[in-house]
Amino acid sequence: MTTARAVVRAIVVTDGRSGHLPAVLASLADHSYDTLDVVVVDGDEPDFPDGLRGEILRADGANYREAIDAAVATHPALDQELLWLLHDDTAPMPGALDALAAVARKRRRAAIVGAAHVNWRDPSRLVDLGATVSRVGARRIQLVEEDDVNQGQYDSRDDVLAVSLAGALVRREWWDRAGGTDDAYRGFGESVDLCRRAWRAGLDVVVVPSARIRHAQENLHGTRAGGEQDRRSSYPQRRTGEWYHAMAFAPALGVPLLVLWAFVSAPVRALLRIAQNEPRMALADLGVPWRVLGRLGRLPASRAAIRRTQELGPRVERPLLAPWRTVVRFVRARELGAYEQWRESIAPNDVERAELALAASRRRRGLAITGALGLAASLAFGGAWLGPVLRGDMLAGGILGVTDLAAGDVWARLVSGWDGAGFGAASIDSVYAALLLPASVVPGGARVGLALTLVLAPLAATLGGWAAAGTAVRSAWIRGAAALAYGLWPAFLVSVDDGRLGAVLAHVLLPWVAFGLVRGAGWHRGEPVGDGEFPRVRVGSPSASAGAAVAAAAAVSAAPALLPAVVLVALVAGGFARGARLRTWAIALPALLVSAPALVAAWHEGTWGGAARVLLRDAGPVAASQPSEPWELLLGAPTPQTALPWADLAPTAGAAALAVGALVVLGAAWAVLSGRATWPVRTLVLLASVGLATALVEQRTLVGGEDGAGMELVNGWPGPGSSLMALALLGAAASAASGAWGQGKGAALAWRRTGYAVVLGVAALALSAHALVVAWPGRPTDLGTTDVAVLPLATALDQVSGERQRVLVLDSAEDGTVAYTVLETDGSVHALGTAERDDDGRAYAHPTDPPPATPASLGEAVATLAGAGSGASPSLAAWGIGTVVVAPGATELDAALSQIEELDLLGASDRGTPYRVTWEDDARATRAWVEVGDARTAVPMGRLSGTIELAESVDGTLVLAVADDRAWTATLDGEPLARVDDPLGRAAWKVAGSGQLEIVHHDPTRARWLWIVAGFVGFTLLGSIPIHRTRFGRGAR
Amino acid sequence: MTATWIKATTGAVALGALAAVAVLGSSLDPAAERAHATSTTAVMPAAQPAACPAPLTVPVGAIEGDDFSSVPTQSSRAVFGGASTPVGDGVAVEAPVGAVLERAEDGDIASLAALTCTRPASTQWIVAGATTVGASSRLVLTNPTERNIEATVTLYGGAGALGETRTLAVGAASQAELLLEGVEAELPAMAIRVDATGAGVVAALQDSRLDGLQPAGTDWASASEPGRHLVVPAVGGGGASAATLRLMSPEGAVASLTLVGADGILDWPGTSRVELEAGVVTEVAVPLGDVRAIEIDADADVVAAARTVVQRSSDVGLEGQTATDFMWVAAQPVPTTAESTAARVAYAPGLGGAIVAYSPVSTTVTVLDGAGAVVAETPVAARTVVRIPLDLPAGTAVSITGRAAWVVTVRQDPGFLAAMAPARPEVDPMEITTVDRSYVR
Repeated sequence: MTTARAVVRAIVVTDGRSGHLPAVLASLADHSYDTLDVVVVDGDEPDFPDGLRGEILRADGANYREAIDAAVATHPALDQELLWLLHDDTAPMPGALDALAAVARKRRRAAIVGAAHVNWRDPSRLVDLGATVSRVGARRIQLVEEDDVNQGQYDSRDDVLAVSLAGALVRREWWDRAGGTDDAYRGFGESVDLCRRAWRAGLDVVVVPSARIRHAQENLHGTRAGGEQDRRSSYPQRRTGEWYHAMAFAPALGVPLLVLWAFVSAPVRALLRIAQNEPRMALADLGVPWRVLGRLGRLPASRAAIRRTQELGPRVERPLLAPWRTVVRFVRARELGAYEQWRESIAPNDVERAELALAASRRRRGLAITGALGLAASLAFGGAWLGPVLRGDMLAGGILGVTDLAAGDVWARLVSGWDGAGFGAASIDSVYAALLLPASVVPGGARVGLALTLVLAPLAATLGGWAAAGTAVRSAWIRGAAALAYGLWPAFLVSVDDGRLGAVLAHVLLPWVAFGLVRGAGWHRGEPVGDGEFPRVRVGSPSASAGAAVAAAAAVSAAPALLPAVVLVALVAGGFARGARLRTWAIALPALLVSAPALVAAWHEGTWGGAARVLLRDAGPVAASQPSEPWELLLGAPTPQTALPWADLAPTAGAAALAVGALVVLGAAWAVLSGRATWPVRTLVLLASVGLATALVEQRTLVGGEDGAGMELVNGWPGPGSSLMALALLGAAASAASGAWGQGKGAALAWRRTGYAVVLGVAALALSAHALVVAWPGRPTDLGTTDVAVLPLATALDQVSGERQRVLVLDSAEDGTVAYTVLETDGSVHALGTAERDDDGRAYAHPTDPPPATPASLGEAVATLAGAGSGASPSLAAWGIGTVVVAPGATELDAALSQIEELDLLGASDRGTPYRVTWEDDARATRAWVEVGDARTAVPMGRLSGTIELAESVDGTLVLAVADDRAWTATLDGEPLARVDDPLGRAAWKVAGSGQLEIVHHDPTRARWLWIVAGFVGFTLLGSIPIHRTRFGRGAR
Repeated sequence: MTATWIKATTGAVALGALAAVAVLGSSLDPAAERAHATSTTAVMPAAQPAACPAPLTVPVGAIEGDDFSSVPTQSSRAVFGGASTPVGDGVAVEAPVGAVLERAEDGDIASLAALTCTRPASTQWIVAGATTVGASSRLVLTNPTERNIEATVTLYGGAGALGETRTLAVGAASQAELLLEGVEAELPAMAIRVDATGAGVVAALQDSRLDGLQPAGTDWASASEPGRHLVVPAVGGGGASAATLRLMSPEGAVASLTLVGADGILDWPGTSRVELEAGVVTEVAVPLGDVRAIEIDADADVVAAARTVVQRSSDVGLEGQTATDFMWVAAQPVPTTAESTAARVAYAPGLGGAIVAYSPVSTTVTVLDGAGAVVAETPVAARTVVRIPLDLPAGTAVSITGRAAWVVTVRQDPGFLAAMAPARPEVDPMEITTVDRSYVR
C-alpha cells in the first residue's frame, strides 16, 4: 500500500562487543522512526532503556548484510520504505533523522542519504562527511580532514560519490535491487561499493551535513572489545578493500594491470615505511597484495552484481571521482596535518620564540666560527699536502703506503678480502675497505679522496664534536671549545700525521654515534628559554638511533678495538632509556654484525691472548709505536712533533698538547665535583675510563705485522681508545657546564661568571698554543707527497697485464742489510689494511697448517742476487716474480745484479733499475701457468680470476703463484679440479683433459656475510633518513 | 642529604675508576715486540775473469834521434795464466789469477815491469805514480765483464784529495786509459782511488820516469789493500840506490812504522809516530841495506806502497851516466792466520825470481808450485824477512804455506827490477743479510 510519507525503519546491528550500545539506544529515543529492530549477531541481548520501543532479533553468526536482511524480512515491503542503518557505535544526535528524511523526501532519486559523522567525545569535530575514490587505483579519499572543526564550511555539500552507511537512510527498493552490500569487502569499503553502484544505476547519493551522528569508529581504530590500538591495525583490511574496489569497478582489461600494480607498489610503500621508521606497517604493506590475491575468487561475482544493476555506466560517476591533485592534497594534508597539530600543541609563545630566534642566530654564528677555525687548523696542518696532490702527486708514507689505488682494487678487496701483500693471504674482514670506497670514487681517484680525508679530518672531527656537544650543552662558546678540543686532540693529530686511516676515521665517526644515541633516546638538551627549555618534553627520534647504529658500525669497522665499548654503551644506555629501549639496544646490532667474522675467528683461536689479538686488531695501516704511560694517555699522548726553530724547546709541543689534555681532564674532574648533571657526568667519566682501558690494553697487545708478511709484530695504536676517552671527558665537562652560566645570584653569580670566562679564555689560549706549535711549517711527519709512479713504468705495466707479474724490489739499508719487498702493486699498499696473522704467520681468517708461504722464504734467493751469485732466478720465477728492481741509490746492489748473467737489464730510470727474471728456458714468469713436464703454458690472470681455453688435452699441474688458500678454486669446464700439494706452498691443482680452465677466488661464506651486512646496514641507513610520520597525533588528545 | 650522598659516592666511583685504570695500566706487561726477522746467507758471487792491461807504452810519444829513440827496439812481454782472450788492447786470462811480465831493453821505458792480473774490483787504491816533469802515470782500466761500467778516478796528492774526479766509461770487454799528468800535473807523490760500477774494473798504473835522456824506470803498480796493520814485504836490498815508502790515510791517522830486516827490527828514527792528514800523501825515505820489510800500524785505515830504485850504467847519452829501474811493492795486511796466506798465488818469472816473505810470528814458509809440490822450505823467525830464490820455469804458479806476507821480486841484471804481489784466486763467499720490508720510495 502506498503511504504519504516514507516509512523509516531503524535497524541497529550489534555483536555485543561495543560498550557504546546503551548510549546508542538511549539516543534513539529522541528520533521518530516507524520500526526499530536491534539485530544481535553475537553476545548478549541489550536492555532497552525506558521509552524505547523496538524488537530484538537474534541472527547469530550473520554478517552485516545478513543481519539487515533478517531485520528487513520481518516487515513486508512497502512503497517508499527507508532503512535507517545504524551500528552499535553510532549515536544520532537530535534532529538527525528529521534532516535525513527531509532530504530523502526532496530527492526522489537519492538511493542513499548519508549523515555527517562527528567525533563521539567532541561533537564539534567532524570525522566523516562522505568519501570519494581516486580515478585510478581507487584510493579512498575522505572528503573532510579527520577531526576538522565543524564551522559550517561544508554545509553546502550534497552530492557525493559515497557516504558511510552507518546512520544513512537507504531506500529499501535499492537495497533489495542491489542485493545488499557485497560480502567480499568484509566490513571495509562496503559503503563505497553500494553507493557507487547506486550512481551507476542512475540513482543519487546525497550527504546531509546538518544531520550529525556521533561515531566512535571502533572498527576503524580496532578498539572493539576494549582493544588498545589505533587505526593502523585495520590498515591491511582497508587497503585490501580499496584494491578490491578498484578491480571490481575497473574495465575488464584493467584487472590484471591492477593486480600487477598492487604487487609492484607494495615494496615501494614498504621502503617508505622503513624510512618512516614503521617496520610493522612495512610488513603490513607487503602482505596487502597477497590478501588481494586471496579475494580474487569473489571478483567475478562482484563484477556481475555491478553489471546487473548498471544502467548508466562509468560516465555518470566521473565528475565525482577525485582527480590526482585532490589525491595529492589529501595525502599531504593527512601526512602533515597531524604533524602540524603536534607542532601547534608545543609551539612556543611569542616570548619564547624571540629567545629561540636569538639562540638560533648565536648557534649559527658559533658553528660558522668553529667551522672556520677547524678548517684553518686542517689547512695549517695538512694544507701543504693539498697542492701537490691536486697537481697529480699522491700522499704516501712508510706507514700509509701508497694511496694511488684504483676503485677496482678497493672493490676487489671489499668483495674478496684477499690481501695481495707478499704472496697473499686472506684477511678476517674487509668491511673497512667499504669505508674507503667513497674516497676512491671521488674525481681524481683514491689519492685525492684519501688525501682529502686526511687533510680535512680535523675539520670533520670538529663538526662532529660540535654536533655531539650540542646534545649536552647549548651554549655556543662551550660547544665551540669542546668541538675544537676534540678536533685538535693530540693523539688524533698524530694519527693523521702517521696516516693511520683506521684511527682517523674512528675519531671522526665517534661523535656521531654519541649524537645519534642521545637524540634517539630523547636525552638531548633543549634550547634554554626563560626558566626552562624548549621543547619541554624531548621525544626520541628513531632516525637518530638508526644513524647512530650506522655510525657505530662504521666506527667499529675502522677501529675494531671499540666493539666492546660500543656494545657496553648500547646495553647500558638502553637499560636507562624508557620508551626507546629496543632501538637503543639495536644500536649495537650492525656493529656486531660487521664484527661477526672477527668474533668467529677469535672463538676459533681458543686462548685469551689469541682472541685479544684478533679482537684488538688495527684496521688499516699498522705500525709500531712507542707505548705511552697511562697518565700520558690520559692527557692526550702520543703528542705530535713540532718544527719550532728553538731546539731546546722541543718539549714545547709535548707541553702544549698535554696542556689541552690537562684542561680536558680538569674540566671533567670539576664536572664530577660540582655535582651538576649527576648521572650523565658520572656515566661519561666511567665511559672515559673504559676508553682509557681500551687504549692501554691496545698498546700493550701485539696486533700484527707491519707489512703483513708475518715478519714483524708491532703493538697496537692507542688512538681509538684515546678518542673515546676524549669524547667522554669532553661530554662530561659539557654536560656539567650546561646552564652553569645562569645559576646563582648576586655577587656569587658575578664571581662564578668571571671564573667561567677565565677558564674559557685559558682553554682558548691552550688550544691556540697547541695548534700553533703543531702547525709550525716543517714538522716531521711520516707522510709526504711523492710522484704517483713508484716503480719504473714498464714494470708497473707488467704488474697489471695478463701476466700479473710480481716485482722484487731490492734496497740497501744503512747497516749494509739488503731490504727486499715483493710487490704486486705499484708500491706497498697499506691503506686497505693487512691480513692479520699470528706469531707463526698463520692467517687468522683461514688458519692452515703449515702457515702460508711468505716472502721470508726468498731470503736466500735475495742474498744470492745481492752477492752477484747465479741460480736465484728459478726460485723467483716460481712465485711469479718477473722483474727485479734495484731501488735508486743502491749502487752496490746494481753492481751486483749487473754481473748476473741470467738477469737482463731492462733499462735505467730515476725510479730504479729493472732487471728481467725468466725461467731457465727464457720463458717469462707469470702468476699462473699450467706445467706439463718442463713446458709451461701461461694462464692470463685478472685481479681475482683467470681463464684459458685448453685446446689440446693436457696432463699436468696448474700452478697459481699465491700462498695456498682454500678460497682459490680451479675448474675445468665447470668441474672442480683436485688440489695437489706444492712443495713451495703455492696453490696447485691437477689438470687432466681439455676445455675451459678457470681459476677464481671464491669465498661463499664471505659473500653471504657481505650481502647480509649490506642489506642490514642499507636498511638501517634508510631508516636514519629523518622522515617523520603521524606519530605526533598519538597522545595529543 | 641522600642526593648529596649519592652524588658524592658516584662521583668518587667514577673518578676512582679512571684513576684505577691508570694505575693498573702501568703494571701491564709491555708488548714483546718482534722486529723484522733478518736472515743471513753466504753467497758465492759470480766469478769474473782476470784481466791484464795493454802493453807498456812510451809516455810522451816517439822522439827519434840520431842514436836514440824513445820507442824500444827490443822488448818482450809474457802473459801467464793460461789461454788468453783479447780485451781491448789487453787480455783476459783463463786462470783466476794471471801475471804479465814485460821487459824493454832500450828506449824511454827501458825497464822490467811485472803485474799480477786480478779479477775486477769495485774499489781499488793504487799508491804509485807522479806527474812532475819527467814522470808519467798512465792509468789503464780493463773491463773484462759483459756489461759497460763507469769508473770514477780520484787523485790524492800532497795537499789532500783533489776536488775534481774523472769519470770514464769502459765498455764491455774493452779497456780505457787515462794519463794522470793530464788530470793534475806537478804532483810529486800521489795516490789514486778507482771506483767502478757494475762488477768492477781491473786497474793498473804504468809509472814511468825519465831523467833527461836517461830512462829512470817503469813499473806496473797494482792495488794496495787498505788496513790498519800493514806490511810492505820487500823494500830495498840487492844494491838499491834509493827506497821510499809512500803512505796515505783517507780519513787521517797516526801511524807508526817499523823497519824489519833478516835479523829482526832495525832502528829507524823518527818513524814511531807519523801523523797522516786525511788524504795527504806522505813519503818517507827508507834506510838502505838488505831487503827489508816495513810494518805499518795505524789507528785508521791506511794505504801504502814502497818504491825501490836500482841503478845501472846507461848506453844513452854521456859516458858514465846511469839509468835506473824501480819496483813498486804495495802494502798487504799483516796475516792474522795461516789460512789467510794459503790462498794467494803468484807466478814465477823464470829468471831472477825470488820470494821475499815477512812473518809476524815464528813460522815455516813452504813454497809450493802449481801442482802442490814443495819447492823450498825455510823457517822464519818472528818479525823478520827472508828471501827465497825461485828456480822454476817462467809461468809456474807459486804459493806458500805458513803465516807470512810475501811478494815475488824479479831481479834481472844489469839493474832491472820488478815485483809481483800474490793474489787470491778464489772468490770469498759474501755474507748477505736480508730483511723483508715495505717499499714506497
